[in-house]
Amino acid sequence: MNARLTEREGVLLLAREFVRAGLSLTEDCPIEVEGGTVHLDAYDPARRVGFEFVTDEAGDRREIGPEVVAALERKMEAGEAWILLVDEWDVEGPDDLALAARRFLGELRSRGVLA
Amino acid sequence: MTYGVAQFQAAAKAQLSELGQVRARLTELKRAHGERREELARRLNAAKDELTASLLPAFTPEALAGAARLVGFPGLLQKGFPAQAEAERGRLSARIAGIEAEPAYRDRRLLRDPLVGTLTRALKELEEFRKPFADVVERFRHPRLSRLLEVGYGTPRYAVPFWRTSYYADWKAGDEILERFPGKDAFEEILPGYLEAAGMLETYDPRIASLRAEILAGQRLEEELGAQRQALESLEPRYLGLARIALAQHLEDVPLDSLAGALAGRPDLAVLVRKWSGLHHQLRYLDAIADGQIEPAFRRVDDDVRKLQKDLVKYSRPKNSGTTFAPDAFQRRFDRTRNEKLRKRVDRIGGAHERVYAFESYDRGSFASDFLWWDLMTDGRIDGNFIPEVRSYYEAHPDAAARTGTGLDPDDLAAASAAVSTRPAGRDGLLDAS
Repeated sequence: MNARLTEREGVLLLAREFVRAGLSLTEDCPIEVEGGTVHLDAYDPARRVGFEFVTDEAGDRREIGPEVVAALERKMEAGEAWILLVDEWDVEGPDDLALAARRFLGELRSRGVLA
Repeated sequence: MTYGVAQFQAAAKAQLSELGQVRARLTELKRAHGERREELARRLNAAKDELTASLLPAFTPEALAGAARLVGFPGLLQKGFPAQAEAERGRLSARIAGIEAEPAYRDRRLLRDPLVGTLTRALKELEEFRKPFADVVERFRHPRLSRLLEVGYGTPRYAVPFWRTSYYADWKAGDEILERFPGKDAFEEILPGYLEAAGMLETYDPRIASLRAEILAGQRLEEELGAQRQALESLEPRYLGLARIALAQHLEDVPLDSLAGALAGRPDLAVLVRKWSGLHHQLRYLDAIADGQIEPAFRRVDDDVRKLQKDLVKYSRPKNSGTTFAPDAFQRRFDRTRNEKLRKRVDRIGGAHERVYAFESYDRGSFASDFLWWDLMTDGRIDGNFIPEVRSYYEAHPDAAARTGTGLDPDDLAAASAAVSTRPAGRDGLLDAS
């Protein structure tokens, strides 16, 4: 079994894939979700695309609990934002995470969100 | 004149060297006892088998009655071995007949012949039908397969949103399975094949399991029949063995002289009883020498060695360098005659052990009530009072005790040991050099 990625390793790896896809990321970016504010690890406000790598180490579970995740999903279902939500426990290693990021970005291209 | 630490150390080292030699001799005696005991126990067992086989040559009512009468053991008949054997014979015969009548046994060739048995062929056929489907299922084996099937991956039912990690984990697992099917491009293409194969296995597997269970049950029946037949064949030898064990137990419990009259007319048996009884006593005497003499002597020598070593360490310390020892106490502690006595005593123990072990003149044993094997084995020249049986005998026969030598002196070791534990004078207050 692979060792779990740290918050920094996961965020850097995702950021590299997102930047390579042409996104301009803002770190620790606040977005509004159903009247509240959530800080994402990285977000492109212009394209409304970003990601959140949820780890115990960063204390993310306090801010992004099940209710916030559900609210974020409603926002995405409404087409208001496109955020890849990754729990550290769901990733086997860096290759897995990179593949997931590339496929997520590919989905956005196929849906016309990204060029 | 007093003795100083240097003299004490020299004498203690010499003493340790002598005790070391005695200890080595006792260790050798312990080892020899183990080997001799094992050999005598083997011979005793063989003698017991020979004796009981001669007393009870067959498992017949006549032989049982004869043996019971000869050794005065009506209990041998009361144990009812023949009736027990007959009851077991009845049970075994009934079960054998029952198994032989069962179709699963009676038609065993027809059912389970490796080549043409109906069950064997049916099983082989089903296993052949199953194989291609099992291969497909095997190629689908993946830790995430059950989840893929549950969420409908590869079907229109699949509705996991693309922003969830599980969407990509499903995708990756699907790709890994797909790689095992060259020429196929999408999971959707291979999924129907899997569902069909899994369905076929659900049909075949219970039928195969049922056939295997039926074959196994038949094989177990054959095995049981073999075991039952073997038990029937060994019935008489087994009960004969039980009767002989009971006979041997009785012989061990009765005094030898009670057999004298009965065995008067059977010199062949008398020889065997003497040998068996002699071996019994030999073993008992050897154990008594080991437990009552070798072991205590060994422990005592070990204690003495420890005391000397402790004192050597104590008097090698600078603060004790001025210690002096009173002449009387010093000479008593390192008295060489005591070491000589100790050596002689250990030699006598070894001699007694050797003598008892080497004894083989069982034919000189007697059924007389005042006969003592110890006296015969040692020629009455070794004191066996440390053995309860011998002591009781001498108490009951004071004349015999007077004839016996007193080769072993139980106080020797105690006396020799007392000398070793002499306390120093000097700082202990017995003698002060100043």
